[in-house]
Amino acid sequence: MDSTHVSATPLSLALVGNPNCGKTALFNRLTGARQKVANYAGATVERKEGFFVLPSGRHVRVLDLPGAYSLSATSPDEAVTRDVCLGQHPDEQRPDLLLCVADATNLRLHLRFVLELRRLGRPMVLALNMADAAERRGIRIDAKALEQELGFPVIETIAVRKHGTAALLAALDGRLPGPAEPLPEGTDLHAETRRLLAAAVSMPSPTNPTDAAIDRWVLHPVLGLAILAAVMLVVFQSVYAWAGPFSDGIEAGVGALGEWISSTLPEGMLSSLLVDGVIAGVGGVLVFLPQILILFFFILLLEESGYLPRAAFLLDRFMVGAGLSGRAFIPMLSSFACAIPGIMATRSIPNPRDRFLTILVAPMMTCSARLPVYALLIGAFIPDRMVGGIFNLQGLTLFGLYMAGILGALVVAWVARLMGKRASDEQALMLEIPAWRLPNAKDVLLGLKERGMIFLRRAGTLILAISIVLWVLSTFPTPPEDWARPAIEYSFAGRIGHALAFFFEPIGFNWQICVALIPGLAAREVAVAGLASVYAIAGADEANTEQILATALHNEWTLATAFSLLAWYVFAPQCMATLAVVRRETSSWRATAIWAGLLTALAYGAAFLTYHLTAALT
Amino acid sequence: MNLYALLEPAIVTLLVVFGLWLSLRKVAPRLSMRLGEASRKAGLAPAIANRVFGPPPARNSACGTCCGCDKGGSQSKPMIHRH
Repeated sequence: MDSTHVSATPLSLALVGNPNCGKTALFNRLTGARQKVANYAGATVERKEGFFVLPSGRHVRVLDLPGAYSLSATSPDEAVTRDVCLGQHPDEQRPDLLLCVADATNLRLHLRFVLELRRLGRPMVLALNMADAAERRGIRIDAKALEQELGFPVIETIAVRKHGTAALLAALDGRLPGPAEPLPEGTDLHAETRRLLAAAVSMPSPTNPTDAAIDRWVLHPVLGLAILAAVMLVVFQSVYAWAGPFSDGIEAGVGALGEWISSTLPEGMLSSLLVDGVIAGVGGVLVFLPQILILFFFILLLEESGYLPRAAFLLDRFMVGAGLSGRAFIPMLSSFACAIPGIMATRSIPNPRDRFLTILVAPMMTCSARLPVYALLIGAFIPDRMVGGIFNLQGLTLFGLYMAGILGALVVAWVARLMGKRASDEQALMLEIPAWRLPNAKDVLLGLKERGMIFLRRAGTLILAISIVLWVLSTFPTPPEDWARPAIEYSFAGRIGHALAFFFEPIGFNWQICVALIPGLAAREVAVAGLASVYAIAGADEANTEQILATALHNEWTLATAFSLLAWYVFAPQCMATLAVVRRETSSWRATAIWAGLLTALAYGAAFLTYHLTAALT
Repeated sequence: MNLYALLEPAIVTLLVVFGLWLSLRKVAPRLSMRLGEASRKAGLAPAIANRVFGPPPARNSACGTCCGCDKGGSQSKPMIHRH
């Protein structure tokens, strides 16, 4: 790749079209970027910018705009698209060319928006994306006839294939089309769409029979829910069933490295910093990499196949019953990876009250950063045995924790609905159900690589840094010679932990947990590194820090304390990055404070109840 | 006193300073940028200030520090398509 000859004023084009027509896949193909691609509407909520150079050397700047069904925007993300297309966006010049993307398998819907864009009288090119899928279904599109009818170039593309955009690149490299001829005033866009379809498209059947057959089962109101529950169970069972050998391998490697350093370096500060600080902290979190990758593997498969919008359809009645907007599903779904994209995805919710409610409950979905905390506590306290001959108890517990987050969110939304007025302009869920698609192995691998790299980067930067800082806080000041208790209790960390324990004692947290909660504010998984460091320093005579943590938790914590911490983390206030995003999205410190206060109160209340109920029952 | 005993405090200090610096950049990027701004004003060479505290954010760069812009932060490097 050569970036030395990029012009300062390249040709500017904007990718525009209905949601889920493949704009981001085309953007990635054209620019070499790796933006998230998903088989559901609303994956892109803000415009993204990329650059590419055409074979002739012509430079192009391309904007990937959020999907929109029309230029009459009803949500903040659609407003971005409308403003850019109309040249009214304050920070964006009007694009030289609108590259309209339409799903070739669903032209009845997509052509209407193309005609609306044509009204703007801007230079346009129409990319009929997923041309291969259309052909497989027997849909015959006469691109030349459509081009003649529309009056601007129409090109078939397959954005997920390497050479699927060659014709588009050739067209962009040639003479660009002039402004599209606007439709006469008062033209009925639906009637015009029907006319175009009759002139240029022949469709054997509006729906693929295989898709229809699968959907009869998957979208069934009772059977569909059973299938959804089974899919989720399989995912969480697999997290435990498959991760074991890989986690054990990493654990053995980390343990061996710690032992090697302990035996090589003389006992002292440096050895303690490396073994009890860096290796205990970073290694303690690294062992959960396989579980995170397995979880994301399944999420990516479900995303790519088109199952997730169907799950949204199934769960819509529960969400609406609880008082959430139908459009809350995608933000809540995105929050399973991380609350930040989930909160950003609430831009598609037009009503401010519904949007805030979704921002409030979306972080209750279990983000991947919570997985190490769950896995550590489940591993230490839940026996690894089978239930009913097929289910692993640890996998069932993890499933229960994820469900607790979902149910908690629905209950909070329901209470909020009881307490406040429902918006009069309530938005129903209008979600396009995409065709079933075989997951693209490359996209899945890219997604996995991306998630793995995010995790490793955090381990190598944030977790490493905080592990070192925690080691300092847990080691200094050193106690006087006549100090009879563990040295760490004399340290800064010990004193901070004891001070905080006053607040957290009613929910069963000891001072070591209180110390770990502080770095957990930077990122949830750092709490595991914090616990590992604190217990490693306290038991520095042991060689294998991983064993120290598991043994310490098992010996020093009661079951009530472990369950209480799990309940805390189901609802716990978010990491600081999430807090910053809530502030950015709500533009209000007051709303951010209410958000943080509510979640803290909820987490404390849940942990309090869990602790005392478990203590009474055990 | 052997060489290791002499070097150990220096290595530990270096690692701790590195940890503190990385924590500042990762946990408190806003504070880091403000410190960078202050150090540039105090006369520290911009190249050094940029390296230590991070470069000053461009307006509307979606750096997440001022919460005042809405621009998408992602930009791709140019992709060259060849014949």
